[in-house]
Amino acid sequence: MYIEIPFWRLLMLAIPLAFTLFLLYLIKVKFIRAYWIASLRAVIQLIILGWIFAYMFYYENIWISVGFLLVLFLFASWHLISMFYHVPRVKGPVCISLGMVGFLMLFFLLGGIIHIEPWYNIQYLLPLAGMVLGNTMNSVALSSERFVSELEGNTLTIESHLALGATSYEAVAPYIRSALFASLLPVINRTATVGVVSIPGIMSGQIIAGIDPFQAAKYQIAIMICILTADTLGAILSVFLIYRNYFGRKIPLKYKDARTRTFKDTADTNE
Amino acid sequence: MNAIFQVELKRIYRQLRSHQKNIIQDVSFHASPGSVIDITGTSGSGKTTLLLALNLQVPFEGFIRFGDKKHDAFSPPYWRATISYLPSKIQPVSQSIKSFLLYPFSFRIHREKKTPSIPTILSLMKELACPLSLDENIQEVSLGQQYRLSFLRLYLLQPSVYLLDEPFANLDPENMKRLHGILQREAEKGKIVIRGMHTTSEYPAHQTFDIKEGKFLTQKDNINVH
Repeated sequence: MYIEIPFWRLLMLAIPLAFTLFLLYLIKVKFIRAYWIASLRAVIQLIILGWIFAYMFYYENIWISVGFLLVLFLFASWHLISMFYHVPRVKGPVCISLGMVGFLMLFFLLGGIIHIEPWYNIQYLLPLAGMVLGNTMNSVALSSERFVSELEGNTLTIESHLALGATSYEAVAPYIRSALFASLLPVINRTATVGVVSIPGIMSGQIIAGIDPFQAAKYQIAIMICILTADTLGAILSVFLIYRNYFGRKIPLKYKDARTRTFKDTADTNE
Repeated sequence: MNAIFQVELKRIYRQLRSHQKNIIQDVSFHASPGSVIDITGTSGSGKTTLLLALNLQVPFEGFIRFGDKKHDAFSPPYWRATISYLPSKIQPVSQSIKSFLLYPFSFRIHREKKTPSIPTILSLMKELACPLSLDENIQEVSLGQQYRLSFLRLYLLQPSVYLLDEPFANLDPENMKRLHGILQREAEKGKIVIRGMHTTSEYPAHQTFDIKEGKFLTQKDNINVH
């Protein structure tokens, strides 16, 4: 049995939204704008997505699938690039990590575990690609952001350890570890409590759609583990590529020298 | 290892995002074992950058020679363990003084060395008027003590060339004298000491160079000071 939601009833969502907005307004948080724009974007994006999906299912062919993957990747990369717009030598690493790890794990999941037929079967490709790439993007962004801010905040310590003969890796390893910790902790928590605290999206979806919960559980296992490993690989790869960009040379690049913004204030503060 | 330290640099520059910014031109000097050399200049003149370049942490054109080998014949960690740099301020993470002092011995380049014994460390700490407890948190001692502890950390590693940035900046006259005493002892053993200084101090060097507007000038020789 499947219950359809009439459109007008969705409008009721405005009640909790308006209420939380009001609360945030009273507390005077800075992200009010981001908050309502995010909600609005979610509504618009999902409506467009539902509409496009309907067409894609209708005209199922290989080019639509490829195009869809490409668009997904470009949007995710664009998001990462805008996030790291002012951080030099990070945009390449994050996009490369996202692309390599995201697609590797996606095709492992689709071809290796689920065995979809044909490989571009859009019914499976669509939701799973979104999940794997979205999660990889998230962990790449978290780990890189943390790593870069650790590099920036610990310039003096890194410099002083290099100065005593530490290899670049020895000087930076603590920050590689803390970047991986920061990006993987949420994923590890989520994976550890799945089924106990949270019933994840795809399983909820399949159960609502009337699938045998045991079958749904098998899907969920495959997806959880693929996402966990994709997140981990993405975080490791991006951090190491950034590390290589700064330290993979005889004379390491100084983070503050390479930065675009405020370099005038900081270029000479070493003195 | 004691050897002659020879510097012939055409320019020292910073690699900025879009271009290279020259900091100092034509740096040329040499130091024989046992000598103390001062590099003076106002704030922002590039003293720190020069010291960092000698430590292979800032790019340059030219060469630095230690003994009969040029800098690119060494691996950077080996070079930096031999010709070590000490910044004027440190940024220690929260840890005990003991783990702060012994941390570099975990680096691959120092792993072969024997870790100094606790009594040795304590007697050096006493000589430098540092707090006498190894369990204290390094973040909780004063800036001057933090600096002396980081000097002690460098001393325990026994580099051949000391590159010290503003070694006397945070020290009162008593402690200056103590630090100078240790440096002089090191020089007598054949080590080379290169100090970045604001002004000439009451503990003069054998030779002083001045940096003005990106130029490296020989100022004076004080051969007979010590």
